[in-house]
Amino acid sequence: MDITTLKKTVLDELAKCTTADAASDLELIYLGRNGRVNELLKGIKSLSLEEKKTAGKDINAFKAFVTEEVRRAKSELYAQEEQKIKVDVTLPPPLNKSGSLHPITIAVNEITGIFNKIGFIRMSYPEVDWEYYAFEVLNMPKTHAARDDFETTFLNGIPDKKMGKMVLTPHTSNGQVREMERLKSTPPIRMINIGKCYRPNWDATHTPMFHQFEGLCVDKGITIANLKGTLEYFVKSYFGENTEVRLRPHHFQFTEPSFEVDITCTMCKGSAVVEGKKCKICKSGWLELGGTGMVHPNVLKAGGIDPTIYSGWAFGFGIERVNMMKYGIDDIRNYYTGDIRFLNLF
Amino acid sequence: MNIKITHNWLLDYLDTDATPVEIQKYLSLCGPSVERIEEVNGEIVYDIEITTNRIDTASVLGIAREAAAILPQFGKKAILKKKELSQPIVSKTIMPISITDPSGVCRRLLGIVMEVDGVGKSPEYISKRLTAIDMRSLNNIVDVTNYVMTEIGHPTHVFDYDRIETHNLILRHAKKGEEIVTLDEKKYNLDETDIIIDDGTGKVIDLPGIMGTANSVVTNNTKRILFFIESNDPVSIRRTSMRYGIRTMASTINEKNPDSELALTAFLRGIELFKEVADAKVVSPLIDIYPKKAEQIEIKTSKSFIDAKVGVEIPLKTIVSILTNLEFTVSTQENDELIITVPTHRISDVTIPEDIVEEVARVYGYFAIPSVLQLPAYVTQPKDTELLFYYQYVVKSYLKHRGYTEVMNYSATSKELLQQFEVDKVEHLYITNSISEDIKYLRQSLIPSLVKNVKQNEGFAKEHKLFELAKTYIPSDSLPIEENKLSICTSVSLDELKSILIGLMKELNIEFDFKEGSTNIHLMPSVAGELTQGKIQFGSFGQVKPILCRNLGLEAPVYVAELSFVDLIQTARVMPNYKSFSQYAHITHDITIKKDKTFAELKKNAFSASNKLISLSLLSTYKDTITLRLEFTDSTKNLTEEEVKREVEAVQKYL
Repeated sequence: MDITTLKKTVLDELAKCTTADAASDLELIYLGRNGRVNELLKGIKSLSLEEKKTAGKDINAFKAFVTEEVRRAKSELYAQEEQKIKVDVTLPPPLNKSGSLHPITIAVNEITGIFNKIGFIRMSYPEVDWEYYAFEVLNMPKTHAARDDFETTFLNGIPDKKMGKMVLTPHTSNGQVREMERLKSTPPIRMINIGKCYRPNWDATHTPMFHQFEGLCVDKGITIANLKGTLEYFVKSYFGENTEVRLRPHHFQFTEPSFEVDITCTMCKGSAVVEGKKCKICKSGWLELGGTGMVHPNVLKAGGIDPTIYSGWAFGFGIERVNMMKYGIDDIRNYYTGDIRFLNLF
Repeated sequence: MNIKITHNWLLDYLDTDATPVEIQKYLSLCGPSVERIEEVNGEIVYDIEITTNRIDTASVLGIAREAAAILPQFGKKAILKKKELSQPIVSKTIMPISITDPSGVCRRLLGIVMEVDGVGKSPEYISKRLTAIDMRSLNNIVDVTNYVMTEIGHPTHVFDYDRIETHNLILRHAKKGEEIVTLDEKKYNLDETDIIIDDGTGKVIDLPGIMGTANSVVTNNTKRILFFIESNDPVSIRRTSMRYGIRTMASTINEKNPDSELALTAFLRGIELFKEVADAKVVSPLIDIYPKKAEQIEIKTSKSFIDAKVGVEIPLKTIVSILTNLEFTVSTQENDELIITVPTHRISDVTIPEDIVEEVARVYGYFAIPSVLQLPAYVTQPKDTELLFYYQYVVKSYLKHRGYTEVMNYSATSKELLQQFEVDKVEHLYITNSISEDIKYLRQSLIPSLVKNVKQNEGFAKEHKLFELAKTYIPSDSLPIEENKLSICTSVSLDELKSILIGLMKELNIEFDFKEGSTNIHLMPSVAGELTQGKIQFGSFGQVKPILCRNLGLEAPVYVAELSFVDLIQTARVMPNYKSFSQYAHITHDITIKKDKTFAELKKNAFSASNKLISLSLLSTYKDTITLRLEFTDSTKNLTEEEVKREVEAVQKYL
């Protein structure tokens, strides 16, 4: 038995292997159960004790040699094979068309989450409601301009003697007194009411159906400072930490005092200038967010709550509007036409 | 509404060192919102938003008064300069005039006859100011009425005295169908709630507070004028002006309840201007019918009340100075109480202590109030409300990930669509004052809108997969029942629809069965079924009747499902019903049988025949045969071949 010759044979045979699979086959031929190494071991049974010792040593050395050489050859061959593989990983896979959520759904989810964190529960109130909840209890007398045909959508449902006519709610504020009633006129109240609203306007910036989110907070000692604190929290959470809020005087029947809320423009960050030119989105660095105010004592009274003990704030903002302000989705008419070219952008 | 005034005009009433930009900034923060400053022919013009409650600020005088209260808060000089106006001197010639309001339709009436020296051009400063604020300069006489309205804030009117032949003006309600021609030569048929002026012969010579009529207005030949102001009932003005769509600046102001006291200021200022621009001579006494003067209003409040509402301490001195600058009279009492008298121009707006809080806080500066989140409080949310919102998002997200597009359609639909879906005879709630026939009838099913969406998107995709989750409105004795429905719509295949339904029910961990047949009137009876769990019926699915699709111009089949969302969420579970898995072998066995029952029936029968059967699935169908794969196991031991054979036989007997 000439180990040196055997070793050479192994090296020659390995050199002929062009694939890792061929090297694996060779490995089996030498090291398998019925392989050459085991055959050699079987062959030393007839030898003398002294010869056995030497032969055994040689065979084990040979086995170690084969194991190592095969490993090395295989590793080289694998490397060569891997080098041959080249895939364009940027190539698109077979189409798996994904669907989309409506932009309103995305915003509703985001807004609900922000208010949940400060203990506001989301509620849902009727979209078809009585004039009583839509106006009367909101300190809007029968002669108020918002109640006439040009501002409100009336339904043919039979009017109720006490509750008045049936309307499609022009705002989510019908939920205010309904929430007070649900809680048996017992504050605290921490509500966020999100719903569809309806007004007879249809142009580039108005759709006859839109969404509002309404915040209502009633408790002992609620102040303008609390309203400012909450608005600031929301605006910073939703629009970003660097966004500033300001209140300006305004007028709504169901709040006193009433404010309009502005935030620093999301485009020009309040500077009113973009790339050296006047910002196209805002008037003066500020964007109007919506209306808010301290709950009018008459509204609290209508909900059975004593305004000398409790006070509160309320706001109602348009979701289409905040989407426009945050994401720049400007043509709100696309929201409700069912056009998949628009909807699939989300 | 918005008004425009020029900076120079404002300076007639305000002595200030503030620049236009400062005036814009500070007024917007504490008072009327100055939306824009523009330059027109060298005049600086403010464009100002006036809220409905603050009609007192819709004038040069009103803005000057606000500025005088606000600018000093920012360290700016601002002093209100009111004009001294005197009673007119009546000449010796007296022209006859009679103005009466027998049924009391107006709060105040002012009238005076003047002789004018011809109708011609206005002085340059008047025409320049009017043009700068987008008002047309017509002639010296008419311009005075617009000039006074803008300067003082009360609308005024001027008649040609000689064209009112009777010299008699009687205010009354119109008769039904009575005709008028306004000064812009438009004809209107009036209603009994409209207020007009009659010349005593039954002839209508004015639509007061809104617009003059062609038969009494000033012409180029006018020699004598009747200058006239009336303080109207704001509700009636709005009703009439909206009914005929006559939206003049006068009606816009009059419908917002301007101060009747201000009428006299405007009147005296007008007389002064007529003298200036037309050398006018007063030839009648000043008629002032003012039966019921506005009452003084007193409000009791306190510094502690104001502080408690604002959330910060405002010094008493500041409170008093802010209110005094706004022309409120403040009397401070020893017990911290404040007794405040409201000026007449604010009595319709300031009535309760909260209104005083607003006046103080806005001028003090909302920016100066700190931002403090209120303390948290726990409020219980009803469980069904919580689940509604939770599952809405679960379901929407699931469908999105399965390739479906969420649509939101209007809650109301057109008569045409109801006809196309053959439900126009079904009673629907409808909008009585709808602005478009496209959105009139409140939906009772989302299916018609979704099928319409497929039609609209026909050219934009080969396959359509849409869903909508929205309320439907079912008429009842009282408010309609607002029922949330989930509708899924696809043009792909019935299998696609069923596959999405199975996936959705799995997502909600609802065990359910498909049942043959449905009562949904939009579906083909032969290709329709229901999703059920025992007695609960979640809704229907199937192919939309081809005739309905064809009515919309859709040739290819459309498949829809409409489910009651409330039933879904009441049955849904966050986790599936837990059953431990069997430790023993599962043995499958395929059988081919003649198919003379629905799959649902086969399945039901098979499970009732063997309690070792754990699943039954479809392998294939061929002609009238069906191949099923049955899977058996036992929770206590391995089944022998013999036992399985017995179970298969038992199942087969029932199939």
